[in-house]
Amino acid sequence: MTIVYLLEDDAVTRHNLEERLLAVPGIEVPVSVGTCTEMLTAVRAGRPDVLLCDLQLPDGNGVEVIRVARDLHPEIEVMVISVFGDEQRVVTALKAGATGYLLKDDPSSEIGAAISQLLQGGSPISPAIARYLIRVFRPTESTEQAPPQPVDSGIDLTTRELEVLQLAAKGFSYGEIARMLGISGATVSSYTKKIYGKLAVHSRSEAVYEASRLGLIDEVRRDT
Amino acid sequence: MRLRDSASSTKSGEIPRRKPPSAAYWLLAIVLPIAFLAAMRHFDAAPPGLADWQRAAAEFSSAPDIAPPSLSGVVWTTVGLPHRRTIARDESGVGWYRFTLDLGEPPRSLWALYMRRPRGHLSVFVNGRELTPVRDVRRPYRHDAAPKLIAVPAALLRVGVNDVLIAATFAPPAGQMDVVYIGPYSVLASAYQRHLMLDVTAKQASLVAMLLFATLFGIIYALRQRDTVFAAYGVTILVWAFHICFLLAPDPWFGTAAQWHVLGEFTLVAFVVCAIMTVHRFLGRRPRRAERLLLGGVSVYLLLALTTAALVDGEPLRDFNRYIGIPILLILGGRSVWQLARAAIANATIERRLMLLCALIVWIAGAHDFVVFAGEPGDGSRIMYLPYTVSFVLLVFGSVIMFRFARALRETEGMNVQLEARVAQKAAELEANYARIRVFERNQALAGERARIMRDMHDGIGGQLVAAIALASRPTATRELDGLLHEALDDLRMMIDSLESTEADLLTALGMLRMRVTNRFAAAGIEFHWEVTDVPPISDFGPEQVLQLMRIVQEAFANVLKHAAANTITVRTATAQLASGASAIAVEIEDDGRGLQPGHPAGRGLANMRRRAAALGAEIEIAPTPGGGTRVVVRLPLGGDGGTRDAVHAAAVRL
Repeated sequence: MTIVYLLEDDAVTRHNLEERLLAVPGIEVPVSVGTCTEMLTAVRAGRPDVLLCDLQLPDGNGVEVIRVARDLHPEIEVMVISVFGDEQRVVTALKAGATGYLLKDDPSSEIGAAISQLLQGGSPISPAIARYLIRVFRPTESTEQAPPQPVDSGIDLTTRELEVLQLAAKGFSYGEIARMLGISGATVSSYTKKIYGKLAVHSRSEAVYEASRLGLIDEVRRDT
Repeated sequence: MRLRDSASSTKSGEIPRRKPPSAAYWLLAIVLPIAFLAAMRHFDAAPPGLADWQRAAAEFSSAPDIAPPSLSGVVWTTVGLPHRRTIARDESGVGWYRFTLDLGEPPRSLWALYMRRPRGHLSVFVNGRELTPVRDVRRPYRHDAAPKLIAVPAALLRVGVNDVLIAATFAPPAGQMDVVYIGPYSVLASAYQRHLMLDVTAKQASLVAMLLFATLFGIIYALRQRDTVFAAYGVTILVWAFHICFLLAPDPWFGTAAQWHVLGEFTLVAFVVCAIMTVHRFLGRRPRRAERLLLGGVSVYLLLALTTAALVDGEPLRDFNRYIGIPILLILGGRSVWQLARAAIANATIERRLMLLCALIVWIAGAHDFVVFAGEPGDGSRIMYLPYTVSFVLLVFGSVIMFRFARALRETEGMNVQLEARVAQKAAELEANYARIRVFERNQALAGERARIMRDMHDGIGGQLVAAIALASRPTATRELDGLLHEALDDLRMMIDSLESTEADLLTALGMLRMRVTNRFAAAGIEFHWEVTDVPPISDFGPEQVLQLMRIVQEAFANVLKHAAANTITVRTATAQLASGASAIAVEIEDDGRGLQPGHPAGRGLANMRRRAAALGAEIEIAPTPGGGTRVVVRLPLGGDGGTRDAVHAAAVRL
């Protein structure tokens, strides 16, 4: 049984999503709410397998919910609901610990497939997100809008991961990438998930780096 | 920057005017010359005990022979000392002065003769024995500034009357026998030491200092020819040094003693003239007519003096100098003192106050010399005070240059500080300007972007929504409505994707588009072939251009989906060339469907694609493939020089 918690403020969309989720065999949706407060209460009380959540909510930002949920239950999967699947929103969620995203409208997008991909250790990616990730981890390759390089983060990408990103940024699908690199499609999607994990660590270390640069935290805490 | 008198810069308002000198300064101006005169008088006075041995009179005979005359057969006349004689040119100039020394007991120690300012060759005989050799009378001889001390061995003297004869040889035009002291060596020697120091050593020391200062001022002038006052200082000191040389030199270096004498007096005149011109320059005034008159008068005087020295015996200009020449110099000098005093009252800079003190002392010393030597002709026991004012003058001249140097340094430092402040101010202004420009540019960019988004919305989603509303009024149009709304959402997504793209990310933009339609192609059973390759970035290919291209490609995708009945769709990118030969990037969409049907509704879509390609400056080619399908090729000009464009772009990003 896969337990999915759903956070979406628009009632029609929430209903639609709920129906689509329940149509997938083996998925239960015990929590389906429209505010951050309710979801925070829910994730403190119980543990879902997948948290499916919108970002802009009437009483706050879904990113906070993602952060709290991942802190409480590091092993759960978090999927962001997005209208456009645009770079900025998805990346914000990925940094907070999300591992996947779902387009709101697309009736043809297989919600069940997406969830099972997540549970099997893979994540989706778009060319724009891949391009963004290349810039974050290889700021020298493009000087444009390069985020500050944290000192020795220890979370550099492997060559293979970078190859996956580079091909994804050019619009190749997982299947094509898998053929080109001579690996399986599942492996490619698992690389993506690892990269997302590194992005979350990276952005955390980046925040620490920024904070220490601004003198917000002292050396001792940085070392721990 | 000029090493100028600080007062001259008040015109430009840099240095505030100073108050007139205080009463204390004027008191000093009176006390200092008086103290100088008193000090000179004190040092010049005869040492105590010397007066006891003075001989104020002697017996004189002008016997022409230089051998000691016998005591008989010579006519002796009694003369007072000092005794001045005018010597004609053909005269031998020898004169005998006779003294007697009556001793009550045999002398136990050395005795001596002492004369402070004897003007001629001297030869002393005691009891018939010569103590100093007689020199050649034909040799021109003027005077000796140094005092003379002649030791008399005790063995030469006897109890009773001793005979002392002095042969004094004078050169034309005149000579003078000074007061003679005959007494114990120890008493006379101390007087000798003191007078030697005052009359010779002090002047020699002054000479050395003057030559040093003159050289120094010469160097300053050579380095900074605008500062004529330093040249004037140097010349004045040099001329004065010549004058002191004449006072010290016992024998003429050239010419006759008479010519030498004239030159000696001329150097004094020249010194006064130089001093007057120095004051002019110090005050920043150049009265050309007055200076020309002054120099003319001096030249005439020099010519006259040299002529009379050559033609006339004796000292024909002596009285002229005394009663006319020197008073004229004193009046001219007094005028300079007056000018300095007025300048000091008008603006009492430290330099002006010092110069006034110095000029006062020099003038008063000169006046003293005039009064002493004009009022008491022939009194050789007095000295001239003027040469002793050298130290004051050098001190003041040196101070002036130090003050100006220090001020110049201060001004430079001040200017540096000012300059730095101005540079900082300019930098701040520039920064503010840049900030304004940046704000302006940002506003421009925002306005342009806003206009573009409006246009794009009108062009895409707006029209689609209007069509959707029209459809919604028909009850049976659910499927069509659904399709239209999805188109609208697709267009919105394309707009958002294009906003996030940059010119270097053509493939990413294409990839996003592919991702958006993947599900639809899969549902239609069309296989996607993605054959993109890396392409160089395109100049000025911003969100607007990306969106235009995306719409072209989207239209092509839509045509394939709706009309082509294809099995595969292939997307390619490659470098290509335009018809004009310019470099370009080709984007190809090829299907293996049934090709374009004549009169097909896709015609409007094709017209749109052409319009958009024209807006991009791109070429578009829509043609059937040999396999019966359709190929759309869009060729985008690269524009610019790829290499330099990157550098420019990187620079722009850094800015």
